Amino acid sequence: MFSSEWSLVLFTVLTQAAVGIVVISEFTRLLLKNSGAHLKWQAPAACALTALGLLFSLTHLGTPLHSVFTILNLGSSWLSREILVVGCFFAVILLLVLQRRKAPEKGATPLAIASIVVGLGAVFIMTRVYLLPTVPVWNSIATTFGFFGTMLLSGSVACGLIGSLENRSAKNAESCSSMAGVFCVSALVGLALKFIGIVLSMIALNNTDNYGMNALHMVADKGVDGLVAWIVMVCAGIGLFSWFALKAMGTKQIKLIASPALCALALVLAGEIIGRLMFYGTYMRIGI
Amino acid sequence: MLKRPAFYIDTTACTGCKTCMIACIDKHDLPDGVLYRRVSEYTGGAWTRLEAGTYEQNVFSYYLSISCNHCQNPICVRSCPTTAMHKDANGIVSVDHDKCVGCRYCEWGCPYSAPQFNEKLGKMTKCDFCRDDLEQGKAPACVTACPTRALHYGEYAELVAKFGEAQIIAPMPDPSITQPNLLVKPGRNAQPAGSKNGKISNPEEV
Amino acid sequence: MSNKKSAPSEKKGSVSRRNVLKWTAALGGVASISGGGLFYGLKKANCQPNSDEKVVWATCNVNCGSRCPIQVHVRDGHVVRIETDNTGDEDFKKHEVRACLRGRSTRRWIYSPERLKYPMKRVGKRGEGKFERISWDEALDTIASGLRRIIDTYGNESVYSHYATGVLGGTVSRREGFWRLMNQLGGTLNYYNSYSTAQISTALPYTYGKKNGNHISDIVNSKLVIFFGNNPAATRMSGGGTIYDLVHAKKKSGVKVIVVDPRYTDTAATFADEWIPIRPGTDAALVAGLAHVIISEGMADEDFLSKFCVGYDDSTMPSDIPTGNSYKDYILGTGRDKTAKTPKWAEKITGIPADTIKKLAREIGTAKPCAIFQGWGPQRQACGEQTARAICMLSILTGNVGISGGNTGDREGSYGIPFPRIPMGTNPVKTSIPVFTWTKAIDDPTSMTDLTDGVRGKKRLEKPIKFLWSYAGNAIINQHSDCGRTAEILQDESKCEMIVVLDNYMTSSAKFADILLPCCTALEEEDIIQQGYAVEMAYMVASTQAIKPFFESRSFFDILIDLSKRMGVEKKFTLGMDRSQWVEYMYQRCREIKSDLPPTFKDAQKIGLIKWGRPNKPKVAFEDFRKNPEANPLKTPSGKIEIFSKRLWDISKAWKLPKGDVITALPEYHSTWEGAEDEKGKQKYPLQLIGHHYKQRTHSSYGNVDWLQKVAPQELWINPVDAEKRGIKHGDSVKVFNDRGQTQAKAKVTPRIMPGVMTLPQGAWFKPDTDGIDKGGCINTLTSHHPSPLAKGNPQHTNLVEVAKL
Repeated sequence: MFSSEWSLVLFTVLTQAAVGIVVISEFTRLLLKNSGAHLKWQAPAACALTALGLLFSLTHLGTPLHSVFTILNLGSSWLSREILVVGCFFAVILLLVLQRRKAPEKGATPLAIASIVVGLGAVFIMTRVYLLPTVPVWNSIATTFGFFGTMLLSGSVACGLIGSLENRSAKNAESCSSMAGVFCVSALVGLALKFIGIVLSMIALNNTDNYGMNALHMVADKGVDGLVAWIVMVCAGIGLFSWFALKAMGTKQIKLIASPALCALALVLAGEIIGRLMFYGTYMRIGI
Repeated sequence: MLKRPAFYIDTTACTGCKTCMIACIDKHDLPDGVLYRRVSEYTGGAWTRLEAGTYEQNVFSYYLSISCNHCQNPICVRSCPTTAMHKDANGIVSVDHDKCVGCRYCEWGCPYSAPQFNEKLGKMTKCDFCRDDLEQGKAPACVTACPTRALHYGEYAELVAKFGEAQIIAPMPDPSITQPNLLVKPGRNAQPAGSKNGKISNPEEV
Repeated sequence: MSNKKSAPSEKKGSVSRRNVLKWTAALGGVASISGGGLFYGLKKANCQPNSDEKVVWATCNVNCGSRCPIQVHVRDGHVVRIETDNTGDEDFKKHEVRACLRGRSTRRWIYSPERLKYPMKRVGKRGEGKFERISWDEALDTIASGLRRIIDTYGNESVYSHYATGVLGGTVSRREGFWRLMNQLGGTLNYYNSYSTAQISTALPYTYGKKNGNHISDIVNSKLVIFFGNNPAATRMSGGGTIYDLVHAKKKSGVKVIVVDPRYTDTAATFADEWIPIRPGTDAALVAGLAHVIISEGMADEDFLSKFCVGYDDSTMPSDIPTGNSYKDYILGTGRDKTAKTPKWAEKITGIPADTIKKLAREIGTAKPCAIFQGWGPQRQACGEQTARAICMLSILTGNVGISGGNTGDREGSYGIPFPRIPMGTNPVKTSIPVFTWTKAIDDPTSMTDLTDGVRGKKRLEKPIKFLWSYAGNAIINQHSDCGRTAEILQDESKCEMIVVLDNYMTSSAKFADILLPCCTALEEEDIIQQGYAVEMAYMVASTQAIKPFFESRSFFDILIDLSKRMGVEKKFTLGMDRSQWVEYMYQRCREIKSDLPPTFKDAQKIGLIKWGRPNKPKVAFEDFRKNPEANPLKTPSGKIEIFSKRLWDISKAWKLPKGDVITALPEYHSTWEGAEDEKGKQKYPLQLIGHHYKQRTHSSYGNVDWLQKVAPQELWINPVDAEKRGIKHGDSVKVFNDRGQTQAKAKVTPRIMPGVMTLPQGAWFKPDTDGIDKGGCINTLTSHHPSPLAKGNPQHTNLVEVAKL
């Protein structure tokens, strides 16, 4: 029921979180340009998370020394494309970080736009990797909703945590509270995507019924605890975060978000990890 | 040397004895957990108690011996990120160990369980149609081993001419996914593909 | 659906030590350490045979009915690959004899961790398996002095070589060598019957004069084939034996096949157009029900019955037997029990619906010809003699005996060239016991008489077995019933004083030895090996020694030569020849039978596998009798088929049997202890248990090969109905138990075994823990010592048990 596929669980959750951080923070930066709100540490955090995620993915490989060859089949392999695009994403945000060190207050640079586009592309291509025609549980739009949900959920809360810390003595209370608002909205959108994803995945599980095994029955048999824990933790995390984000908006004190965001991030990441463990754990292939 | 090698399984002769599996393991010295050929038992049927205390039943069972079908559109080849998994000019799908990174993506996708991860090597391995035997005009180890002569091999077109068009029975997957070079002669108990009447009953053996 | 419940990387755990190493290698470029896994120097097979690789012919020598040639690839003194007969398969008359999965796993077997290396002396209790290494001299001195002492103290009747069939292939390395030696020393106690066919071998001659069956390939001429407990797909697996002939015949003729068996066997799966599940031990009741329909609906072949048989109805009964004792009386209800054996009567006993019985009877009655074949499962039961004779009644009633496309009801027949065995001389001891009763001959011999225990050659057994010899066998404990009780008897060193075991492996029987000697396997010695006993094609293999003997293993015959020296009969035993000279000597005797054999054994070794092929047409048992019964009478007192056997009538009056055991002159059904009708027994142990023959092993041979354990694991078959009641799911570890003991295994929940019945494949290695609970899944922890009434045979399929999740 629960995979021991930790390397891929951590790779996907961390890189999706990193993309979320970049997409949301750069989008916020675009929205609140010249507002004085600090959005300095998100991209470096995303860079570190992506690097960590890539390292974890290496532990999945039987022969990591051959990983240089993994971009050789862009013509037909989604996995090849994923590795390339995640690599590009890492490169783009690294460049963005370097660019920002030289010119900190520059807003929407082409590199920033690129990081959003490449990031979204990376998550999109990651979902494609799992749309294998022989794996009905994964081969559904549930996977897309799930991955983008993870991106927004973890990205928003992480942005909120980082944003609240770097703006705790901010003078621009207005823009900070708008920032909180954007983070809150994106978190809730993420939650909605996640819920839709879970419902759709139940349908996909039920359709995985062949030759004596019904995946939904298997989940009902052994996975209810995990499913409940996942949903509860994610809801609790987003609930906690949103509550304080709204409060921060109301009181224009973004520093209020800091501690709750830390708890929320822990809850969301833990929940998402459980959910991703179940994702890999319900792998079931058709055929013999 | 063949151009489009294919296997033909006569399930009316296959008793599920697993000699093909052992012959293959012996030839390739396969470690525990790696099986280039796998015999699945597909069984179904129920028992209904009658008034007199006796039972009515509709039990059926048959075996399918599958290695790799060296498909025309192999999902393992198109998914492999390094191009290590490739189909050569003789139609054989095999792994280039100089490139394989051991990501197991091919294993995730193949509906026949053909790619097998070798933990010691850290790379994927699989049936290569006993290329060394084919090059000498000899049959693959599994074919020469089969005590009931249920396994045959040859050029796909010749097998079709000899045995008729490929038929799909449970528990085989939809052939349009990979276009396997596999012909099966259904037995009297054969269930249609996708049937829910039975299930694979020997997961612990494959 | 792939039954993988999680991502395939699960299999060995993705964050393993190996992966962490590889990960650091990726970062630091440090080469990872590859694991080992070689034992006894087993080397990796290279697919490219190269010039320093030699290939020689040998055989697999186990008790499976066939005798498959194998080609042994040797490099640097190690076996690296096994192939089989690949000499060409075009001609049905001389087809390839392809080894089954067991023979193909030979190199894993000969190098297994249980392989014995040195002679050993027991230091713990018998059965503990505690031994210390000794020299060959000490071992043989000990055996010789023990043998001498026992012969001098108790006489030769106390010396016994137990049934053992691990090495049936070969000539010089077969078990006859020991009897040759002992016959120079005053002889040994004899045994008769076997663990395979005690009941049928004893019973069928009362009907037919001898056992005899048509070749299976004769079914191309049949209109209907019925298998009663006959499963060639698991018991005759050789690609040169019965299963190959069956596939061939079924393809050629498309004849309808019906399988009657508690289990939906692999034979049923592949060949049966219909499966009729039957409760174990009730075949005779089914036959009676079928006979009722056949007789009352006028489908019995009255002409055949009156001309060729004795006892069908009053017209052919012996004159001194009172009326009411004919077969017709028994079936129609005018006999002693006043019970008509209607389909409804049979339904209650067999679990087969009455309508099914009627339908089957009509099919048997109208198919001309109909071939009935019974396997050896139905007879290996508490009342197996009755079952064996009963099944034959279906062939007899319908006149299908002695014709092409018919059969006698016996198991399929065989063909081969009877090449000679080592001459044994004459055994001065004439006393013979039924093989299954050897433990009683140790424990309570003087209670055994000709009328109570089937002792032959004497009225009463006088001496206990004091010296027990087992060469290439596992019937001291593993294959004999009631392991717990057997162990108790053997552990009393005052009873059986010396046990000598010769084997390749530390089997469960080897653990009971006082002296344990390591022998060569077939790949470590040359020999002449003839075709098996259940094939339709004659051939021979002149094998070449492939590798050196394993550590201090020695050839069986060489061990005997050394023993003969110590016993003072070397000259008489060896005739001045060493082992290789004996091989040449026996080979020349083969040439007396087949003069087309090459001049010397060495010449024959160059060819290796020599085939003569099949007879021109499949054998029809008792064909001559059927054509002309007066000129070719059967070896029965009347010369005819004895449905009613006067000899059995007399025996049933003279013999003293335990309550509940019966011997009858007619092939009647009787219920037995722990049978399908034992309602009292079922209150405590509600499930019947049989122990089918399984592809993983040949009896217990090959039972320690990891490849085979993987592709065909030891499992207890249980029906979903019974499993659900007990909360047992497929793959659960379960315990199976009755008053005699407990064994543990994994459960296979499958509809392929009928409700109320389970099966635990026989031959698994007995592995008791300190509490005596067997962890190996050995069925004989549960079987009984209670012998069958007439043959005093092993009733290993008659058991009541219960099962529970562990």
